[in-house]
Amino acid sequence: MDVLTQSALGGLGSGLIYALVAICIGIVYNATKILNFAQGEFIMFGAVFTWVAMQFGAPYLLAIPVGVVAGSLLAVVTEFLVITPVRRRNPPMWTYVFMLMGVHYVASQSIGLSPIGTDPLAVPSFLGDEPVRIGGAAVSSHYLVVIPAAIVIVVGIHLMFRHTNLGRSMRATASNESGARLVGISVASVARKAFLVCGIVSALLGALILPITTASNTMGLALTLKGFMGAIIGGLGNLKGAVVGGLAVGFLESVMVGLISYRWAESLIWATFALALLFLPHGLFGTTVDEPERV
Amino acid sequence: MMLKSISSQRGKTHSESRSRPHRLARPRPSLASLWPGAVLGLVIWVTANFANSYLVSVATFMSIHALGALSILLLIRYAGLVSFGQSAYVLVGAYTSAILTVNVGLGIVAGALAAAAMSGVIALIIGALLLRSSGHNFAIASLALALVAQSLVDRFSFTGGFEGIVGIPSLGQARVAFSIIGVIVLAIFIAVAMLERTSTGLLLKSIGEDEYAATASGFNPRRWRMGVFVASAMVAAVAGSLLAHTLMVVSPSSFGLELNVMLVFMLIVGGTQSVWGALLGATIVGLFPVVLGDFSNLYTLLYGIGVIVVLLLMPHGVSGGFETARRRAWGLLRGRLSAERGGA
Repeated sequence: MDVLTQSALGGLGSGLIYALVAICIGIVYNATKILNFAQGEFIMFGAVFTWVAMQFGAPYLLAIPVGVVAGSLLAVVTEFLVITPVRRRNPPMWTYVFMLMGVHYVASQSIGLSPIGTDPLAVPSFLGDEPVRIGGAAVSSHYLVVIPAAIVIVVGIHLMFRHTNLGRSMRATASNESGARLVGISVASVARKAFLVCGIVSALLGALILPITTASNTMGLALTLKGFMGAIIGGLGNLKGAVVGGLAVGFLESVMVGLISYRWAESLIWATFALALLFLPHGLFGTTVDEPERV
Repeated sequence: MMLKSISSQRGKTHSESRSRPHRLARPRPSLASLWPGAVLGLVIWVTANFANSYLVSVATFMSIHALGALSILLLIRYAGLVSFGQSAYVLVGAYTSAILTVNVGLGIVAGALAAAAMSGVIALIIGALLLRSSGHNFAIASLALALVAQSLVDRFSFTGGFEGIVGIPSLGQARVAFSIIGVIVLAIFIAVAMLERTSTGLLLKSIGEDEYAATASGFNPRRWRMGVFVASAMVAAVAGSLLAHTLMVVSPSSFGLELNVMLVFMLIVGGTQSVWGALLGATIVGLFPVVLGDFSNLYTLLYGIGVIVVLLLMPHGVSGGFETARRRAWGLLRGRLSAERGGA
């Protein structure tokens, strides 16, 4: 029973993290039809630069904005330097994928070669090291910050899509790009703002998980891949799907580590992912028909 | 008389084929089109005999990587699929060779053949599942399966776990090994280039470019695609086997996403408009360390910057850029010719 509670709690925590990554991937996908392979690097920048600010003596809460600015800056620069110049020439999808892979290598290697280095960067949580005990299971106390914050962010994104002009124009672009152009939406500006929103959310996420997972220059790719997993299992570009998919990935990972063994968990997770891709290519909530709400 | 009529006919078809907006490809399996093969044969001979030992080792890895890039190129050209998981078949090839030669005591040739066969069988099983998908689903599913393969060899004890397998026999002294590898790689490239000039090659290219057109012409792309998938896995396995005998040690970390990205980067540099693009790309990327010196930490960063810059300048790939330039030049020439004709 303890193992199950432990797995469930751990799964909830990591599931919410993956859900946020999946949402960001969906936001960018809907605005640009690009799979953002540099997603994890925005998170990595958020976490690493929060750590850097804390090394200069800033308290955690003041260091978070530094990380957010760094991460969203990377997102904006990526959009400006990599996506915009190529978009006009209408290249095949793979061009974007490989360029974003390139951004992944540049971001992670430049941090690795800088004085920050490749060692894991850890900071203490301001809630202390004492784990929280719930029904015989113990989780890091910092999850008490991460879980509510993640829920607030998800609700915030949901409200943005419902009630703001930016959200509406993103939904319009997602469901029909030329239609959106016809009613006067600047698709290029939607793409830019999608990267900005995605950068802010990712960097914030990176800053939030820093005390739990520690940060390193190579943390990005695994998060990107888990985020893809969540986004695709849920149905690419669907908000509800991204949340469900992300949570499913988190729980799956946690249960496999807890019940089977850490040794084989990784293989099993990737194998499950591959099978899910092959047998549920549109995900749980993805359809070819327009959604009432798309991320 | 007869000669004259033949030559005039020839002249006619020639100018006809040129004046068409899209050159109609005809199967012409002629050896003349294989001039890159002849040139490269000479390059291999010169390198093996006269280059210094550092260049020989660079050229050895270049050849092996060219073969790996070719396996990805086969999928792109003949199946219209971009794989992020081809490193898994390189891994299968390398580990099969390593286990058979070190633990079982088989000869190198038998080991390499078994590696190709093993990889083909695995591809047959995986392909039955994987070829249900296409586009980015295929790419990510193949990546996920490659991660499975990598973490499995990391865990199993008969594959040596994290440390891998050591003491794999080499092909011989460095120059001999390079000659053998160079000839094998070149032979495979020539075989593919010749295949491309046959009607089967045309069919495969049409499946890669437009699956529906191929289906409408009465072919079953599914079966052909499976064949290409298996062939590509076998080519990757041969590359893996050669790599194992060159490095004399295999470990899981050498067959990850990085390897796959490097191979794809070679294709971005070399282009996918011709089979030889894989070799061109492997050569250019392989020369990085020669030109830049030994900054191995910087390579990954340079790959990243290289990919971005190359694609910024030519979003359709390097040889895509050449192709556009060539078409433009021909278009100009043709425009002038037809204007002259129209005037006359």
